[in-house]
Amino acid sequence: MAKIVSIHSFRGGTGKSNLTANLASLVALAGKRVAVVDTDIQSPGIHMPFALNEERVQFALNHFIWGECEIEQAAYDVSNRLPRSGGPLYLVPSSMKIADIGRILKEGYDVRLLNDGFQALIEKLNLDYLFVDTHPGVNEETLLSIAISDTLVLILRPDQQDYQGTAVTVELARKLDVPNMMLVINKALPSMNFAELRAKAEGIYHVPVAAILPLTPELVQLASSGLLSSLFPELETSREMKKVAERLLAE
Amino acid sequence: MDLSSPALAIFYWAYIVCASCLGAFGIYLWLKNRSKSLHLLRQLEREKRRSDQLANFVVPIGLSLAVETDLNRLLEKILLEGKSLSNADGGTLYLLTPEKTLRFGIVINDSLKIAMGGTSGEPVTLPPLHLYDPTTGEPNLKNIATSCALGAKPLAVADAYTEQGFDFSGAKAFDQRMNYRTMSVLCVPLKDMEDQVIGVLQLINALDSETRRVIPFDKHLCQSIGLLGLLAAAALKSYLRIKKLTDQLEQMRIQIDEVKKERQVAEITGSDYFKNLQARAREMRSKVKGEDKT
Repeated sequence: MAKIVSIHSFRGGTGKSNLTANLASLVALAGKRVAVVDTDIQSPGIHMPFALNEERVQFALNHFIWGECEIEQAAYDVSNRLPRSGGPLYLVPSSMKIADIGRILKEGYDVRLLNDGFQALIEKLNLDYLFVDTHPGVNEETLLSIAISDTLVLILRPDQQDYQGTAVTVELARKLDVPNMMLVINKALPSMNFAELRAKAEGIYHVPVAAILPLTPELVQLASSGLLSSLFPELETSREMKKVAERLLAE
Repeated sequence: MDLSSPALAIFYWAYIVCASCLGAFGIYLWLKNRSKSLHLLRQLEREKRRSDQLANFVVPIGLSLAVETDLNRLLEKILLEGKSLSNADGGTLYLLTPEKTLRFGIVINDSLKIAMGGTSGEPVTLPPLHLYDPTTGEPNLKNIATSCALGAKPLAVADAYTEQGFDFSGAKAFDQRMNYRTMSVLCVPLKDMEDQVIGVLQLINALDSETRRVIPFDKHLCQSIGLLGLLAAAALKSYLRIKKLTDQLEQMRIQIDEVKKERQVAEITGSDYFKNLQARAREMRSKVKGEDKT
């Protein structure tokens, strides 16, 4: 049975889309059939690390929501972005067109459609894993993504606002009975004591810290334009992401 | 006595030669002592200048920069000291980023009344300068500031418009837009104790203190500006070190406001949407569990 993995953060700028793209790629490299859905309709971004051009996108998640296409018609094969052969990797992007983003913001949408779309996608593409790149913060759509997740990966930066916001999200996820939860702390200063930070975070949230990713110049330089784990596999950040992917595969 | 006798003539001649030699030796000794005295005088002057420089420039600026705990104020102080030392009309302080670009830290121009960055409250909107061409990877030696950072040496031009070595098209475009004329430019690298460049101080249009006309930057000034560069780099490094330590402490401090958290959670879980979602999620999960068992 397919597993739904939602990657969520309380605030923007945490590196959520980058982590989602890398984890999905690493799981696909393990031979699994994987799709990623960009539900951050208001500020789409995951098409960047997958280098999916706007011109190639005829249908996006928006069009499925508006009833203009089937969900699988909005799924694009991005397996060619993998450094070597693995399972098929699909991406369902949100529309990058300003007019489409504006329409969603203005009209809103029935978030229940997302669940229908996810289930249809799993069935039509015979998926093993469905990764959901959520909109940061808490709204109806993110709550739905959290509620239907088998695993929730919460990504946060080591700062007070993220610590506080993550505490709220963890509590909500518990009330929604999410079976598996893990934390990924991103953009940590490399000189920090990671073991101490991990112990502190696990003690406070009672959620395992799957990885602490150091702030690397390579990541800044890459600026979402590629997959870090493919381009710089030797980096500590890439190795840590691989551990998270292995953890997802083991669950 | 017969004064015309040859013996006497020889005596006189010998007397004159000896007297001349003694005179010349005397002059030699006098000159030698004089040169020694001059040398001593010059050395004394140099020592005095150095001690004046220490007392009037290095120590006060060094202390002033060292106690600064706000980055914006620190950048502003460095640039203003550089401007004041060289009597420049404007200047920019660039900071070297890990991405090998020079980021505009602060920009000031008196006659144009421009102040960006620092304590001005106006953000610097100018894009950073690439030390290396992003496409070819070639070092950017066309720009005087990036060239200064790459070569780690001060660079000065008397007139940007006639200078052949660097590309001042950016400055010219700025001048045209602002009705300004960039002439003399001085760039000094800010080097830390390990001799690594961490930024560049660029000064524009040195002004003659009496006529207020733009003149080239005084070559002797370069030493003082170089000293300022060293002090500035030391202060910046010290600031960054302290910032890193406080950031680390801040990152390690995980404090959750439980009251606030409970209030926020209650606001969300109290909604009808959440209650419905919770019920549906439970139903869905129990269904999945049931399927798993069968």
